[in-house]
Amino acid sequence: MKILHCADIHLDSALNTNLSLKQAAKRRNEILLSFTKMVEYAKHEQVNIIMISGDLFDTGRISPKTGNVVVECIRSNPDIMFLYISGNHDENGALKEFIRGGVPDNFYQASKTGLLYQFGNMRIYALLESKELDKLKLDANCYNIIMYHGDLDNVKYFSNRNIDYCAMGHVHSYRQGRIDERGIYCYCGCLEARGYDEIGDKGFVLLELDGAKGVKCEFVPFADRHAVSFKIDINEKMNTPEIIFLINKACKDSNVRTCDMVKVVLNGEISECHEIDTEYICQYFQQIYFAFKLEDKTKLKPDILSADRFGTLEKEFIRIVSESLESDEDKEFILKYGIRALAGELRR
Amino acid sequence: MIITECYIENFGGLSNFLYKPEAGFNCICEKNGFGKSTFAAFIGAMFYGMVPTRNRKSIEAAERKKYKPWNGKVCGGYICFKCDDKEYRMERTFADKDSQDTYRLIDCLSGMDCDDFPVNPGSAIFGIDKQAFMSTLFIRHSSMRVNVNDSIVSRLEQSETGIFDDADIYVNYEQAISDLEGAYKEYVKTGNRGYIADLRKKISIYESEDLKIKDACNELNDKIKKENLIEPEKGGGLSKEEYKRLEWFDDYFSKGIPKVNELRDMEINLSRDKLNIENEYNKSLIRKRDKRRQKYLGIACAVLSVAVAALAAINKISYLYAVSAFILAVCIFLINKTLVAYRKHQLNTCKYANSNYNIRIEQINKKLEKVKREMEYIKEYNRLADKEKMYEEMSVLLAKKNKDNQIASLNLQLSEMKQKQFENSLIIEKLKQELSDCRKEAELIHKTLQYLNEAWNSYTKDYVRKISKAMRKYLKVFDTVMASKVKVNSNYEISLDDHGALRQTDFYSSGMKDILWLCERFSFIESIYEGKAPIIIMDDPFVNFDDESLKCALRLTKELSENSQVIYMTCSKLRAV
Repeated sequence: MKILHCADIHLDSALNTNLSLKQAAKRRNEILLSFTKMVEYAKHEQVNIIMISGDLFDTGRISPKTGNVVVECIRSNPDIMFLYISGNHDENGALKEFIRGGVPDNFYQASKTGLLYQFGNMRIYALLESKELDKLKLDANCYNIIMYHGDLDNVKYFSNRNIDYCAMGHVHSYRQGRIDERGIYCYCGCLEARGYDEIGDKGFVLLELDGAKGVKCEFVPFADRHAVSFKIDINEKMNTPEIIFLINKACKDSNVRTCDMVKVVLNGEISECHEIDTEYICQYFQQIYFAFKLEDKTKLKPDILSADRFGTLEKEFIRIVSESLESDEDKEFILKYGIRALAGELRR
Repeated sequence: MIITECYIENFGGLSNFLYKPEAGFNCICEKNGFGKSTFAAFIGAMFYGMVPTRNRKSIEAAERKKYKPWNGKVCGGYICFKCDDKEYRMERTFADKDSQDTYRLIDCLSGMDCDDFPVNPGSAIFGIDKQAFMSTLFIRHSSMRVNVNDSIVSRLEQSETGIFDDADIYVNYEQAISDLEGAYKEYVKTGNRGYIADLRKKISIYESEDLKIKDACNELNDKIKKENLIEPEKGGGLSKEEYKRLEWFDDYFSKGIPKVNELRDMEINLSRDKLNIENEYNKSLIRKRDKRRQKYLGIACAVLSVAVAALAAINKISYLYAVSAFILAVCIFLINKTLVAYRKHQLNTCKYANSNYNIRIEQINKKLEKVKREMEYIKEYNRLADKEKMYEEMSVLLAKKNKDNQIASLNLQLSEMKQKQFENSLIIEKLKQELSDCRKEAELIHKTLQYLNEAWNSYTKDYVRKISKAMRKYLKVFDTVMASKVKVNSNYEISLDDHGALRQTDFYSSGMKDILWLCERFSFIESIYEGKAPIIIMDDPFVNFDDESLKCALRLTKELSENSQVIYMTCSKLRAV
């Protein structure tokens, strides 16, 4: 028996934070397509069950297109059993609106903690809240799978309960570990990266249960597009082309493809009049990569207050801002902006 | 610096005018039209040049036009002055265009041209630009108001710190404020403009569209609900005649439709009755015929028997035979008569029956006809009813199909609407996020502005305090109460704390204003030059002063002239010293 374990697909995610409207719309379609391709893959690999461990949708608000595509995917694959528990993002029953003419026989959505599906001596349970784990009485002679969406704060809590495989959702990176001598837990991660924090390979886990051979658990990287994030250390002597060069080098060293989403964080201490045009750098790389984000986390040099290069007005300004109750981030902005204004940088 | 000699070759109405001021106080008291203002203007023009005529329209502002020599000769002259222990002779001519002006600076000691000062040496000698010069050292009754510009503020700073690099600080500050205000205005402009207003407008448009979509969705949902509730309409298919016929049948069979089997049985029975009657009738006819035949046969047998008896008697064959024949004939006759009588009875019975035959047949026929007709009616009624039912079923199916199609179409529309609503909501979210970012950025820029202003106020408060102090000192000479009321803000704007409100100079009379402005000028002169002004040109500045104020003003001027060269001009001996 083959079981596909996926989670955190976050269909219909707004993706507004890092992407433009056009890019976000494209990326939403890509994620939906990835879901359909995953089902096709399951069909091709003769997968018997697809377990969706929560957050299939990003919110309870599902677009008709997405709802219809998902329902059609389920309907058109009657040989695959779809088991679904809702996560912290998607609402229970959000898909119902799109299921017309009755729930497909091959679709089971857990409405409460308990046995969700059973085949031979394999049993799949839905666990909606970790505190409800005691409700589940697992037969030691069966192969017991738990579907759960949440943090696994205390692994010991799950141990010695005859769990063989805990199909987890909520953490967006693939992660696997032991519960006890018998069982393992596995976060399959998200199917596709949505933001720059979702770096690395994304996909699902394929389980093969063979009574004689035991269980085979394998992570299948499936995402076409990756999110990549770099930290670049700069100093006050570097100019815009040099920073571009550094970013290019980092991308090349990491084999970043043009279809990827790249985020670069600039670190380091700089002077107030440092020649660094973040907008130009962004535009430069946005032409190359699918999406590019530059985060300027450089800090003004700590000797700014005592710097001889400043006149009394600048010093007074720095003193007042430094002593203000603004957050560090706001202070950094105000200081940089104000000093640049006094130096005539804004005009230039 | 002091001026030692002024010579006007030609300048406005003045020609070949020579004036040698002394160090300290100099008073020129001449009647109107003498050229005092022209002379003052000449000194200004010599040190700062004259503005190009093309930029000025009124004669008052167009110096080159105004001071063009009336005699049509070359405009210009020279000024000899001492500066930093050196004596210079500055020669200048002014043409219609500034490019045609001439300038020459001669070192009096060597008699050679020198370039210690540029073309307009005022800025270098006095440390301020022309506008600042006109607002401080050059005091005219026609423009007493002080316009504090960056040159004055820079000079104040320079005088305080002695750091020449900071001379541009006011310029930098002004530019920075202007740039920050410009950057802020990109976000927030008056008249509901700027990024933030634009974003708000966009959001508003999308939100109103969203509302419309929601309404449309609700409308569609209602329609779908209604469609689901509507029962498919029956009817349709039968012709008018058929309907009429069906209605007629409905009336006809209002008491119930007879059973076809019963009608058939009735038909069979009637047919049987009819047949029986017909058979009876036929039998009666046969009996009649048989009776006649029997009657004739009996007679014939009797006759034959009689004949046989007669023959036997005649032929004397045997009487026994004759008697037997006779008895036989009698018996035959009697039997025949009995039979005939029976037949007759039967015939009589038949006759009775036959007499009702036609009526009965007619009745039966009528009944049969009715039964048959009813059967036809039933058949037709059933046919029409079936037809109607079939059409009803078809129409129901058709209506259901139409209803399903209609609901599917509405669902599709609803789906499209919801998709649009979904996309709309994402756009609104994105715009709201942008708006939030813009607001944050605008807020930070605004805060930067505020902190920079705060820094400026803090930075300039020493100078402002200095000016305020000097202001109070000079005003005290005129009016101690007024001196206690005067306030100077960080933009060096003067106001008086009068009757519970800070009132700017414009609220006061010309004389009061002139006193305030005079004191302000003296305050700046004192602050900038620390009491040692290079020169002060005064073109009858006390015309609006009352006698008391005039005395005070002249006393102050005299005091100032102890450390500075003052050239004071007036047209009134009352104002002269």
